[in-house]
Amino acid sequence: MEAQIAFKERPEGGYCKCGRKAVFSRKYEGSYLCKHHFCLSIEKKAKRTIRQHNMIKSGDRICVALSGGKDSSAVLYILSKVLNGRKDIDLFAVSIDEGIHGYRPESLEIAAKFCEQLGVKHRTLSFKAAFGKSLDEKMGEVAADPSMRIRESCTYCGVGRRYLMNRMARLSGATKLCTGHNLDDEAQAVLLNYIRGDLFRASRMGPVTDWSIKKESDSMFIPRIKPFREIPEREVALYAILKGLDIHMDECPNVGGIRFEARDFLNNLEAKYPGIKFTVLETFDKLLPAIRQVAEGNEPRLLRCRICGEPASREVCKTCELWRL
Amino acid sequence: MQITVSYLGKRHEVDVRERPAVMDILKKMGVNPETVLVRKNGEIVPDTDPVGPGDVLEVLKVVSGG
Repeated sequence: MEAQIAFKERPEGGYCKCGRKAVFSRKYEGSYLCKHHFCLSIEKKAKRTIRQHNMIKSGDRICVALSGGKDSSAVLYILSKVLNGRKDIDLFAVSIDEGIHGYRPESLEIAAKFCEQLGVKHRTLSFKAAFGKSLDEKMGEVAADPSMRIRESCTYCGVGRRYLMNRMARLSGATKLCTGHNLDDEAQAVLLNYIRGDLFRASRMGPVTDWSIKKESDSMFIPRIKPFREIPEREVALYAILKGLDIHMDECPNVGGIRFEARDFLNNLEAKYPGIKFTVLETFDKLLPAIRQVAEGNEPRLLRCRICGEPASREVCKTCELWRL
Repeated sequence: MQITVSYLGKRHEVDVRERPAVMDILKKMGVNPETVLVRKNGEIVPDTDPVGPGDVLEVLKVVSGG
């Protein structure tokens, strides 16, 4: 009798294969997942990606780029679980303080606390200390000077962050730099590189990013790994929420630009045709060897920036051009 | 039937037909389900979950943009 009542009252929301109430409907595979099986599936996917692409090996020292947001916090959490007890692999985290008023201080506080909880070493670097000015100050200069060609704050921010992260990882002896890039980020990048016709940048995409597509690793460039590249952003967020991670959910006040149009375009397609983001990335991965062949002849020579000595494709690296000249 | 929905720090009263699913309410609000997660009465639910009188929805924007 009880079972009959339960069945009658069962809402149409969906049940997991284990019989528990679902928290998520994964449309691209036609499944409903409870909290337990959803979290398990995310951890399995991340581990599979790490294994498939040999992202981590014995002796590695892994630096996680941690913003305090959902993606980087979740990837650090999973890595600390996966590597728990591994004495042959070291894990630490680095955060960048770009100097964005009303946004970054809170996330940095969350990041520091999170590392303390996990027992992971953590360091913060600031634009102000490295470049002499914060992003807010830099954008004030840009606003006051109409002759400055590059006007988007995301360009100044992204270039500065990647530069400091690579430098910090290298100076700390890291062998890998791990980021929280997810399927949405990767599918957007595929689309953007295509739209911009940037074959060189497209050729360097993939689960592990190195300086050169010819595998001539540069000791000053730390290879980047992305364990979440096959996990949709929405699922990373749900994982972080279900695991109760203390994450910073605010959106950066400087958002905008073509990347956000690509994001909306892909999300609109995904809502109509579930699985489209996977298709974009899978097709790109299949084409990557051919893209690398085409790009190989045009690959810029690896130089050293004459100002800072960091890896550069021109006499002066992009960071020095934007932040130091 | 009216459902109370909080989204981006604001409360909305959404008029819907009888026993809609979460995704129907999102559609009515012009929100793409791919960009959000939804709590119904404090619990995360799939967007296929039915909504009834008295239910309170909280829509969490989870997509940032890389």
